[in-house]
Amino acid sequence: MNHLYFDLPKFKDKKNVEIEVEKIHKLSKKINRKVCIMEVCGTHTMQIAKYGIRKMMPENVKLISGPGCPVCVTPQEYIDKAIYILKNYDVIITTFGDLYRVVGTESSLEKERINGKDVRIVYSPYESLDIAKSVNKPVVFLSIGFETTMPAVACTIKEAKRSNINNLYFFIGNKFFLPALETLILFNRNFLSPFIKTEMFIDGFLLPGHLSVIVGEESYLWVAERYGLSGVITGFEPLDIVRGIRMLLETFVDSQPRIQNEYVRVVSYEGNKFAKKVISEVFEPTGGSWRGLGFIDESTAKLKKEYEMFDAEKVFNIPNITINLSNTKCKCNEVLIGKITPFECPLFEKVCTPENPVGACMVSSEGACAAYYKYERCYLR
Amino acid sequence: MKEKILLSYGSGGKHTLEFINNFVLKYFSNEVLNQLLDSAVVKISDETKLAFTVDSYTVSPIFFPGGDIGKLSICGTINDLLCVGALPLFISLSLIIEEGLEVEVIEKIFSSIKEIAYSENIKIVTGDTKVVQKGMCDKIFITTAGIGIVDNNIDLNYDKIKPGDVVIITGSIAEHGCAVLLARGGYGFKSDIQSDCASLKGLIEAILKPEIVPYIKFMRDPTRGGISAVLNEIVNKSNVSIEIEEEKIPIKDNVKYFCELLGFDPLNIANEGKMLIIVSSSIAEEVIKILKQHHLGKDAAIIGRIIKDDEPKVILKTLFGTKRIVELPIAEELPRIC
Repeated sequence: MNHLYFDLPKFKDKKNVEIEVEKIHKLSKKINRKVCIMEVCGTHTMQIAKYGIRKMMPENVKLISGPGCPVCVTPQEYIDKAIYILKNYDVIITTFGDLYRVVGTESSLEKERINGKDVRIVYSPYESLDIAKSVNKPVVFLSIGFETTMPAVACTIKEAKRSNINNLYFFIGNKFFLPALETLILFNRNFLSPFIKTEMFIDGFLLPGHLSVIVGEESYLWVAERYGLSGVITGFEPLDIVRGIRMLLETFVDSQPRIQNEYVRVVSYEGNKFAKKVISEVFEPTGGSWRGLGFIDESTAKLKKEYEMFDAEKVFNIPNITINLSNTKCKCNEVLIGKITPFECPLFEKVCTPENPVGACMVSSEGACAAYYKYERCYLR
Repeated sequence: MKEKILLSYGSGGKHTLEFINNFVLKYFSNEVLNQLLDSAVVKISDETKLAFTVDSYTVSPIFFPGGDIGKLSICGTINDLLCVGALPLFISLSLIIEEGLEVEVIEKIFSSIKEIAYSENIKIVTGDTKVVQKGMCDKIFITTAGIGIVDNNIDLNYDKIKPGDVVIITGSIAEHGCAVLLARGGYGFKSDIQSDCASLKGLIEAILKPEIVPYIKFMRDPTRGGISAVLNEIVNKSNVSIEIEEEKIPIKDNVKYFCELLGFDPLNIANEGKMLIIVSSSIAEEVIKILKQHHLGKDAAIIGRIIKDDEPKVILKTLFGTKRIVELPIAEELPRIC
């Protein structure tokens, strides 16, 4: 790993970035029309806002944000159910920091901790295992995240089974990203779209770097083959992002939709075989709902039969919670699929802020609204 | 549900500010407190003013690379007095100790207090000791109050800050916060990051010279909430905007990469041995020259300037020349999932 660490300055180097931005400007003139590029990873959203990359772009190249934040797309019911477990059973909840302040219908994990409930932030699912070993009560890990985090959860579950841990449970909210990407494309194609839209408005994707380490370049080939759209697997440093955009523009110029890999230093063609194998050993896909995108077949992870004893939903008696969002003016649905920018939502900054979020995109630090609020408000209006 | 105190009320960010405005000022508002400076400044004679400050220290763990709770409490109190241009003189030491703590721990803490008090020529003149039952506090909490005197010619305040002034930081940022987080463990990796915990008395005295004093507008040690919190407080109180430049902000590589790995913004992370100084542009280079001569100021740099703006905000010019907002941190930073 050492060479990556020491190479990093190159990827933040002003000159290197400027050279790519210049190429982008030249290419944009050749394209001669407005193009929309969607980043589908929350970390890209944050980095684009943080480094001001949107403002480096030519007039006709628009960067929009997609549904790539695992916290944002986790339905509100999930938080409510986690809080239900916490309130009705004597348990320890372990969670990633991202979920800690996310507001459910009435409460958040943070508020419950203040009321004396035991909520602990962990950096890795593995820590839950150590906690379970050291206490005599149930420990419930709130497992959310895409293919990126699933291998670590799967390994933890396998280890729990191997070492006969019987007080550790997993509340599975993990999602498979690729089916959602297809749903998003279909939305845009107007097959399923609730919006009146006559043409495709996304021209290409910056594909997620971390997730691609697991799934590999080969997992996206269908995007170009089936839908004629380009995608570039892109890293997270400023140079990565502008280079990814430049590579995308090249495919618009030569009208040859294709999938490319900018992040070759860590992403391979076939991905991480071990990680993919361990995911398929422990999880299987089932239908599930996403904030913003609705119900998507084969998009949500559930534990396979042989690991069911670790499934919090099977062990705890959790009522079915459904949330009616039809009355809200929140435009998260449209933000998540790139139909509007956060600034175009009537609630943005006025009613909906990171402290009092109304919708999904403002709750997580990597949500599109949170990123625009944190770094870009006052600038893009 | 009844409103309850959140951990973030003590984070030094937006919630702390709201707590002060909604509760502290609601009950105790007066002309000295309302200034909300790091030390209260009260006139006692025609020649001098009294500076008075108090701070509690609850850091966990109590020993961390680069310092401990004892050194931290004395340095923090000295630095708070320096913020208003005071000469720090006396400090009180009040201890809340958890029953069962090894005496050896207290002796280690006292030795480091003694060392720093001696080297900075400060006297510990009064104190108090309470011991509470196991579990009622985390090992030891320390409260220190400090008294200093301020020359009548020195008047540092928010309203002195004007467009055109420049912002100086006396050294590299975010080291204390990162060192303490690392010392808490649980990350599965090690680092050589040290807390910057230090008394800035020598450094600040060097610039409080009669020919420079009239040009110093404001000083603040960017502790909890980091430089983001201090800069945002300044723009809110002074009705100006501040533009800082990313490439000019000194930060060590190990701190930069640690923050990047965990998704922290170093601008929001605590410092305990740095001062943010706002001066007239005419004197800025001279101040930098003096600071650089001191070992605690060798990385001092001009990081930005005050600008006129209808909507006060802190702006960061990124490495690539684009601009973005620097927000007042809402609460303490939490590590991200990916």
